[in-house]
Amino acid sequence: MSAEAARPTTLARRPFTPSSLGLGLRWLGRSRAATFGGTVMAAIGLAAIFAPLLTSYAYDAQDFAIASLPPLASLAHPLGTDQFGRDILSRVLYGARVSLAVSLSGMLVASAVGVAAGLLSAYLGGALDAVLMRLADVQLSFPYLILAIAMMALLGPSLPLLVVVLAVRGWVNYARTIRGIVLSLKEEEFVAAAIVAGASPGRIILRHLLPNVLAPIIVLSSFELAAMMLTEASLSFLGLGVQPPMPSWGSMVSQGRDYIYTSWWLTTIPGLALMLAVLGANQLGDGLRDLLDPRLRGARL
Amino acid sequence: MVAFLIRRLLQAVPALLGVTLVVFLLLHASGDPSSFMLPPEASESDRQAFRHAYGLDQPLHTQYGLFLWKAVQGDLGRSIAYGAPAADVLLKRVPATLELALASTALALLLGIPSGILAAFRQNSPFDYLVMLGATLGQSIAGFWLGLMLIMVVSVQLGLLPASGRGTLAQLVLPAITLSTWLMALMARMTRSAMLEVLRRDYIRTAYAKGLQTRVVLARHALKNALIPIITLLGVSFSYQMGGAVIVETVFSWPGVGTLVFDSVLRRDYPVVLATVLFVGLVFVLINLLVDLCYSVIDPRIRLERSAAR
Repeated sequence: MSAEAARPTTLARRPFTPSSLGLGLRWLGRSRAATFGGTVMAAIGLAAIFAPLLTSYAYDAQDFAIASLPPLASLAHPLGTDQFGRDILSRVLYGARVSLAVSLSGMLVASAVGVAAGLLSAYLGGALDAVLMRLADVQLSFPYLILAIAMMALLGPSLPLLVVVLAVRGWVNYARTIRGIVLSLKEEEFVAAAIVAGASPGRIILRHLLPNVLAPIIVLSSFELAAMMLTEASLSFLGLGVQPPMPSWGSMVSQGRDYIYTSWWLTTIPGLALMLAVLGANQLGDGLRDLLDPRLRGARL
Repeated sequence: MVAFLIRRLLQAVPALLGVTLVVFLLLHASGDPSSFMLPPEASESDRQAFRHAYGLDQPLHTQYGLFLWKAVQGDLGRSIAYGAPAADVLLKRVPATLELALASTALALLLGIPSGILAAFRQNSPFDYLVMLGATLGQSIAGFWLGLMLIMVVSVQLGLLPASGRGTLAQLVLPAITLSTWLMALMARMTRSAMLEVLRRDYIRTAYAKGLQTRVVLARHALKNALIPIITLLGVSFSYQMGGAVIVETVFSWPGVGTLVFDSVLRRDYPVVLATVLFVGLVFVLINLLVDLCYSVIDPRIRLERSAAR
């Protein structure tokens, strides 16, 4: 701890204390979008973590005696039940777990790969830069969802593959954004100073460049999370994402589709949950961008 | 001009090769189509004959080379599921998707750009907030869910429009709205921010000072300069529209390229999947070429040669 404190503190190394949490929240509160998005995401995250405490039903517990109950018809099942008598609230809560876990993993893998690619590509340049950017071009020259469908259908749907497929979507955005910023950063005097001081390329990238691109990484991650939740849901809707009996908002909508004439809540409720989560992540990204880095205005697509 | 076109088309070749190669390898990693296409009781010699008929008994690199060689000559092989040439199977589906894509893009432009302009012109007005709220929601809504909600409300509850199929104009409305929502939201958002940027410029003040009408200032002086980022988006949006088409076509049973590629992937119909991938990739190249040509029309300062070297 004392050795740690002697070092110059950067944003990432500041010790985490309750007062820094309070400061962070007050800072977020300066943007209405960030407040809204942060609150929504925190609520969904907590609901996902504490799902077993919030509902007394398992997500796959069937009870045909209470099949197809509409919302509010029974206090025991406030959001109703599906055609198998499974509690919708439980399935939406556990669906939040799956959606968040898969999308967060995809985002982490994408950011790790993309940030590394962007930093190395920009700082080292040369053949590595050419190859990586060419790869990004190839990928951007084709509709991603069709590629994702092909990967999931042909290699067989599984959660690890789903994470990889999502990461394939995201790494390009990180790599291109980070590369662009680092290309201009590396002309700055502090990099020249580090080189003169004898710092190795690895040290310059990790200690001098990486801290300077943390803000765009955070903003981008928020938007990527939103996009990945949408992609996961779309693939699950097509039957190529999360597989039953594990609930996913996308597959719940797909299962409710057959009952659209009789049981409106089966499609409506999971879709609303998905929209709220995506909206929350997008708004958080908008707010963080305004707070951290207004230059990134085109980042969201 | 001609040199520019040729260079751009040549630049697209590696990308097309890359994408088809990836899909080709995926198809082959997924197992033998004879196990999907033939009945389980088929004999081993039947399977051999099937593999031989579709060239599946040859080494991978030979198969891929053969695919490329024939594709250059316009032969994309025969569909395993339909028995007809894959190119014919694909081309029969193209009009439906084209119709859907054009209708939804037109809708997105006709509603998205004007509302973006007005929102920027009346920044922080109730209308501006309404547009931004709509755009934010539009970018957060899942296409498959929006489509089902429209079916539920408009078709099932109100009985106003058909829920599926293609043929009449009424059947086009709901799929087109569903597919256009995301792009419309993006257009409104980008138009607004591009216009906000432009409206601050000195030449806008000059135009007003000359006594020009607001309408003329907005259309001739502001919008024209804000068009570049909007057109760039149009090129990028194609790949999202194509991905979205798979979802929307599935929801509305629309007989287009989206449902074709989805069904063909599930059926391991190699030739049709590869034909579609090649086709979609080519269309993407052409659309981006068109976008670059548009740049030089809108802004004569942009030289085609320079953007090609970019």
